[in-house]
Amino acid sequence: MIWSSHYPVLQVVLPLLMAPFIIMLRPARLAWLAATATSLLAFAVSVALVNLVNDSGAMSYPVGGWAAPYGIELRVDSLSAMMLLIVSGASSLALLASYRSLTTEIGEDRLGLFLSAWMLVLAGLSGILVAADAFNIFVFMEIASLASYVLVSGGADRRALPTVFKYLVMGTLGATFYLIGVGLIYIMTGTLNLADMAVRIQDVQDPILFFAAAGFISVGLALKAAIFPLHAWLPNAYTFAPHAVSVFLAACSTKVALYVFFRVDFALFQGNLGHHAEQFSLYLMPMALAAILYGSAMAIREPLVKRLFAWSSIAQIGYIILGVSLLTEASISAALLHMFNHALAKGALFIGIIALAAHTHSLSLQGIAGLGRNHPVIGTAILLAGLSLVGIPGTAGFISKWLLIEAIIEQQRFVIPLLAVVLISSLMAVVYIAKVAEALFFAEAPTTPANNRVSAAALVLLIVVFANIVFGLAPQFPIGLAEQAAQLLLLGSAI
Amino acid sequence: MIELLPPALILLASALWIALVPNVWHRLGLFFGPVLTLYAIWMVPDGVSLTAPFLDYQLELIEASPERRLFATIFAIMAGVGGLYAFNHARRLELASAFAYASGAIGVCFAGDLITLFLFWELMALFSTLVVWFGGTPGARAAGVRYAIVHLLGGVILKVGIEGVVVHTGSIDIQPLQANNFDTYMMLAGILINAAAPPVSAWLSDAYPEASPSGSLFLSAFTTKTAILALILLFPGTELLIYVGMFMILYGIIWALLENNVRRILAFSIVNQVGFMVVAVGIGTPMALNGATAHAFAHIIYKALLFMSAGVVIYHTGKEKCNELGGLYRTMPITAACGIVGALAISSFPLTSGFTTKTMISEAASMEGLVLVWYVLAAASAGVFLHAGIKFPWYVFFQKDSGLRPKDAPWNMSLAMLLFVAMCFLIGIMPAPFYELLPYPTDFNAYKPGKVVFYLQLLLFSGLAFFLLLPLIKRTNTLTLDTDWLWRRLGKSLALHGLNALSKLSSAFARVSPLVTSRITQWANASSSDQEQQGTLSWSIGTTAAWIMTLLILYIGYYYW
Amino acid sequence: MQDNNTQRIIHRAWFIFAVILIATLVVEWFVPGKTPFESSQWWSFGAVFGFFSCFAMVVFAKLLGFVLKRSEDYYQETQDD
Repeated sequence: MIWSSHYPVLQVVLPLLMAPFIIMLRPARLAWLAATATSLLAFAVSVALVNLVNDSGAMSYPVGGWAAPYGIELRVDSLSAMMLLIVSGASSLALLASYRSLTTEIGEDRLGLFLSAWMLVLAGLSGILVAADAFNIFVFMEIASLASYVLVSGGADRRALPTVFKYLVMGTLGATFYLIGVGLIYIMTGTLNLADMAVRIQDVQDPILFFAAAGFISVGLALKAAIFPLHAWLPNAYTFAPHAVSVFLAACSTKVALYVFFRVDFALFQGNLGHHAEQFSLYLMPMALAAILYGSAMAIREPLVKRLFAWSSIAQIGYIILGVSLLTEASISAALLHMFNHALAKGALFIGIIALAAHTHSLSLQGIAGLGRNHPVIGTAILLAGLSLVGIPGTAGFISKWLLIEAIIEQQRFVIPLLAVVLISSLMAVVYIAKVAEALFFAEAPTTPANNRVSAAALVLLIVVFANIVFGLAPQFPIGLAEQAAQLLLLGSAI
Repeated sequence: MIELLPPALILLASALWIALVPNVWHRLGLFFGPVLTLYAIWMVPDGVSLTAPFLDYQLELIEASPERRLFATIFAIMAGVGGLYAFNHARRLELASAFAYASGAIGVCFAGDLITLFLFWELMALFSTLVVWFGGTPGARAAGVRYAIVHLLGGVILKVGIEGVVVHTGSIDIQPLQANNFDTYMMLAGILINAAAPPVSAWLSDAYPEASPSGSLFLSAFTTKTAILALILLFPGTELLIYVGMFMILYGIIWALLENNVRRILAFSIVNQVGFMVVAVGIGTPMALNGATAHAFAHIIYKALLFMSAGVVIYHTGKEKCNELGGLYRTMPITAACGIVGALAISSFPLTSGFTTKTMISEAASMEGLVLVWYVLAAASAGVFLHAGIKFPWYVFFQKDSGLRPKDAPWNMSLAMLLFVAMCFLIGIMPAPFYELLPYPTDFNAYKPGKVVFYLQLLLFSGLAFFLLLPLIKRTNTLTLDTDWLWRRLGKSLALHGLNALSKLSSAFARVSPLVTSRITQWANASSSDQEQQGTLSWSIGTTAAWIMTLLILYIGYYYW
Repeated sequence: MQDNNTQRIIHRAWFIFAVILIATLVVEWFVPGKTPFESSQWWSFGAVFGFFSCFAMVVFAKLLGFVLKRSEDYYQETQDD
């Protein structure tokens, strides 16, 4: 039995099977160990998958040996492999950094239940990424969503409850819209397998049904991806969730939704739906620009640090959408690269929050005052991650911004307005990162004594920030993946 | 082996050393860093020495030429002498940041391609912001934030320009460009921001006085001069620069005349002097470019001298306003003397470095027949004597008896100042060896008798005017408005109102259908204490539902257009 | 409040200064071509030009000051950003 051919299914099955098992582990430490080990194994599998896909192209896996399109198919290509790395990596790093934080916020007795939900989220997100079947995607999406509601509300902060309610309703709305769209396509084509759909949809006669399906799917996924103006669930969800959950969600939840959006759109709608390319651009570009400007503006005013980062995420998602909306290979690969780099930068920032949370009760700009001076390593690391967000040379964020600007200039449409938005938003990013840096390093320090033990969170933070810089100076690996993924997407849309 | 290392990295390593090595050993970095860097600078051969692949390009990490080497040399010397001056007074991290800042400047000097240049440009912006922040006062913090914003904005503008040029010409090489399209204008704008050209110069007079006295010393040397080098390499002969430079010259003088704070006077003086260099780059002939380079070299030295002298006064009296100082020559003779030498040099008094370098620029203007420019430069020389040559030493060291009796400079500061005094006179009295180092061969003779007499008349009668007009130049506790009013007052209130309006608008959306959520919110709020509700209200579910329907209809509606 | 000693020093200084000024004007008689342009070739040009440019700059600055000067604390109330 060759293990490697089963990696796609292992990626999902590992965490899925561990979930019920972890509930049975009473000692919190043991539960955490099991969850972290599973997550790390999943990460190892995703690394292996990346290598496999790089060597031999996309991998297809028929579940149970039943061939597609009748059987359920799993498929891993460059795009899904890159996303799997992000998801399993984020999960592992979040878990590694947060034992103390989790036991404080969730309590030792409930940790097993909590972590089993975490495993379900991991399984669900991984499942979305490897599924080649539109309905399976929905199933895994629901698994991931339901479990993530548990995660977000898991902490002691009561403000999480109305947040989760909002998140739940909106998430369900999004998923339901997606399902309606998929159903409509099923009616039109008689199949649920994506590859098969792509073939059959070319013969569809009734345009209205097609438009409706495209509309439902796009809007539903836009909501799950928190694209402005459907972003309302995100800021509070990231803020009031337990810090470890914020790391995990901020790094991947919206990106997986974007993945589905791009996958479905490029496979089914581009090239098949008349004038879709123009509609896609004209529809998404304003939303992207609004997201960038609105998100950055709201971040500037925000006194709570976690919510500041959350608004920043909304702006960064705007960059990704902007890149894809331009529909050139260069712009799409810049956008996909930014998914990777933003996960690194934002993940680092939220891990930094975990590290800071051990030393302060309040995570507002006043609450973190002076912590950078007392804990210079943590402070500098957070500053570096913030600089990656701004796009200083030497960091990963610089590369994706550079490539995005290059792509904008090359494609020659609306160059000046787009550059103006990028310029203004970079400025705004400088302002809000400067606020955080200024609070950390130059504001009056609180009187609580410094606890100088090196925490696990600080170590993980250093690793992630180091990765930011490594991929800022030697970005060949993620760029390669992003470029391949962009080519695949565009290829899939060619008639 | 050392010649294979970018000199910038050596200095950067010494910055790390200074920051991390405990106890007194860190001071070794202050000495060895600049010395080793200087050695490396002179070991680097002309042309490209080190390349590295990056993205799709081949970066040229080290490219040397006489010009670049000269700039790098004075930067390294400045770092060393600054370290000598400051090691007893400045915080260790401030010194480390200053050295890292200097290393960024040297990196720009040797950058062979636009991307490497940009990398080091941003590094300079980062570390110079830190130097400003280490001023430690709330004023320094606020000024540091404004400084960071301006410089990172300038960086983005430069970046957009560079990317445009790279995409449209396919080359990342540093070579002279014409400022005639969007990309090159953006590049020029980005560089001019760093060069402190009005209307984007307010950052300099805002931030430099807020740093610590040693911080101001380091700040004065690097950012503006690397911008000049960038202009020399990328935009020589661009006529626009002649006018920009002349405006800078006059602006610097006028605002310095109105100013009361000693360091802010010197800051405006920087704009004024850099204006001379910008004019020279605009003229673009070999004599002019020689002049720009020579002047930059000399300027760093005598400006540093002025800042050092002012720094001692501030350290020992705690005061930095003209109307609060005076009569300090009694107890600070060395500092006063060094300050006076600096003042004479900046005024291009014969026998000082200013006379043998700045006059090259006037010569270049006359060679090209640029009458107006020559007259403006001449008037400017008079003006320099007025606002810096006399005003600074007069108000600080003479004028009236302020009652202050501060001690003179400690040994290290005196030594640092005397070193630079020596260099001022050396270049002033025996300029020939220095001329050898300039990029273009020249037989310029600074000491033609007619010229000496002319300048002596010019400067001395300006002095006469100063003393006769003294009542008009009385110092007051005021500040002078500058273009930064636009964003510190107007822009800020616009932005605040704008963001507030945005927040209110956003909150309005939140109230669309509060129903169930408000119940749960009330229940949850009852058992939590939060002060975060001052922010924007989060949008309600109903709002989002409304947006969903709108977007869906828009999506499908597009197809029916 | 200057005592007699200081008064004498100041008078002395003015005297020496005046001597130097006149000396520069006189020396110009004996020294050939200095400035490159026709308009500036006349005797004592440097002196006159220097004096009047300074005069003009000081006056201009004073006038501009009426428009642009504000109290030191002008930006203080908008301190936090």
